[in-house]
Order: sequence, then structure tokens, then C-alpha cells
Amino acid sequence: MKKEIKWDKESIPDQANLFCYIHFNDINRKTNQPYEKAFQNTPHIDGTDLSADWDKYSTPSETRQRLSLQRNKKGVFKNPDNYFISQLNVQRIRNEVSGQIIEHDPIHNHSELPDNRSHSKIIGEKNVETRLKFVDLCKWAIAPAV
Amino acid sequence: MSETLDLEAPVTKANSWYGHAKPDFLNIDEWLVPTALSESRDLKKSFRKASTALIPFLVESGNIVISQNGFVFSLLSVFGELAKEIEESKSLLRLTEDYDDQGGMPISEATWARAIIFITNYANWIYEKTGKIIDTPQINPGPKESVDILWRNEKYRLLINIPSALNNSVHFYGDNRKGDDNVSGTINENAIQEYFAIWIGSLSKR
Repeated sequence: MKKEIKWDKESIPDQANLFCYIHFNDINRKTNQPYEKAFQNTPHIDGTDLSADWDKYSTPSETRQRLSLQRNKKGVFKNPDNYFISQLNVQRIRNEVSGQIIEHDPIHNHSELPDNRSHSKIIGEKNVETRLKFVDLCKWAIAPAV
Repeated sequence: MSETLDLEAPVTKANSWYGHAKPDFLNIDEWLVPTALSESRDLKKSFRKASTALIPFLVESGNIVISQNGFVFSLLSVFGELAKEIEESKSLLRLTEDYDDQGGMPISEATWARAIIFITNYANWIYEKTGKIIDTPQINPGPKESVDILWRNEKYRLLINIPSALNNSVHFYGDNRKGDDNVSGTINENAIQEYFAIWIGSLSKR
């Protein structure tokens, strides 16, 4: 019998970093930077937050590898090789991007998503200002080849 | 206005802006009305037919002509780099459903065309008024089938979003990369806004 997992929500400190995955089609191949659209809430129609992984409980490689357990809209498992991992500092988000709240949101015993103690949410509207600033704040943890 | 448009009438407007970038180009009371591109199939056809007919005038005037499936855009000859970026941005039209594994949808030709009209109008107008050649922006896919126009250099950054839905506003945000000296809001895409043109002009290389 599968053991039920239960992780408590924790407060994420300023010095923490968050990892976000970026699909290769959301990267400008000339500049090697993510497009601003990469930082939008999911689901795209009415989502209220952007998913990220807290570096206390995940490495960039683990964030990337977990994608292989998620399905895309067509029901096919995602290919981690199609993704690269960006890193955002929590303090800089809080100080420089208005209207964003960062919340730890561990996933356990979900019907579709893999268990993920590091899962966190960047809550708030992703308008032109926030999307523009996110790109300038992020740096690559796993970068696309130049 | 569009309801009085004679789809079979010959093009008669070319000489009025031939060789020049006029701020009222593609204005709401002109026959080339970008806001009607996807509202009326006939008008869309008319736009294509009419704009294709302008090519000889534009080439003769030394302008750079960019065409896409019947849409024709004109740039003053100093904008070679921008013309190249626009040509490359046609790749946005080849994006297929779920291209980003997150349910991303293709970008319509009409939305892309509105983005290109926006850029070319401002580039031509600023050059004619101030002699400045604006920095070349990136033309990127945006959220929800929209197009993002992005300027980012050492001093400034500016993002303009051209939405796919015609009844949604064009939003923009820009600052000096320190979060100061910022501009933001919505803008009418159908006419040149001088305050906005001045701000874009500050992104000029020369």
C-alpha cells in the first residue's frame, strides 16, 4: 500500500532561489534569453500563478527531470530535453516586481502531478511590466547551448 | 469608414503618402483599416489587394517593401536592419498548436500584421520628424496568441503587447532598467501618439 505523504507549507526566505522551466520554443535563439511570454501564469486562460521549485528541496536537474512525469495538452509525457531551467532570486522578485506573492505549495498525493516538496507558486498578474522584469531577473541554471 | 468601402474601386490613396510616412497612415477613417482585418473578410481581401497594388509606387520611391501573403509593409530605406528583423519574425506565423507544451496557440497573420504596422509606422514617423533611426526591436510571440514588441538595451527596456483580440488594448511598459523613469499604460494602435513616439525615439542608436 502506498504511503501517504504530507508536507507542511513553509515560509520561503529572501535568500532562496526558485527554478522555473522554460520550453525551447520560449527562448530567443539569437539572444539566448527567454521570451517574456515564458513568465506567464498557468493554465494560460485563467491561471493565477506561475509554478516554480524552491531550491531548498530541488536542484535544477531534479526540476527538469520531474517534467518527464507531466503530460502536455495532448496527453503525452513531456520530454525534459525540450526544457531549460531558469533561476530567480526571491528577494529580487519581492523588491523589484510589484504585485507578486511567493508561496510554498508542496504537491503530494495529486492525481496527475508527481509528488514535489519544492513546488512553489509565484502568485499575481503577469502583465507587460512583470514579464519584462522577470526576464531581466532570471539567469540560467541549466542553459540552452549557444 | 468601412461600411462605405467600395471593394472594387481602384487605389486612389497612394499619391497622398507616396514616399512619406504619414501619421494618419492606416488611420481609422482610411481604407486600410487594421482594426477591421479580422472583422471583415472582404475588407481583409481589400487590404491585401490594395496594398499589393502599391508595390510599384513604394519600390520607385526607394522604400523597403516587405510582403507576406498579400500584406505589404513599407519602410524608409534607412531601416535595413529593422526590415531584416521583420522578415525573420515571419517565423511566428509557423508556430503550431501547443508549440510550447503549455497549450500555446498559433499567432494569426492579422495579429502579426498589426504588430508590423505598429512598428513601421512609428519607425518611419520618428525618422521623418526627428531624423532618428530607432533601435531595432525584437518581435516575439506573446501570451494568448499575441505578439510582443521588445526593446532592451543598456539604458532602457520597453515591452509592447499587441493582443490577438481587437477589442483588447495594446499594453506597454518601459523604464530605464532601474525601475525609474517608467512609462506604462495602454495605447491606441491606430494612430501615432507623439509622447510615445518621443519615448521610442529615446531608444535610438543614432
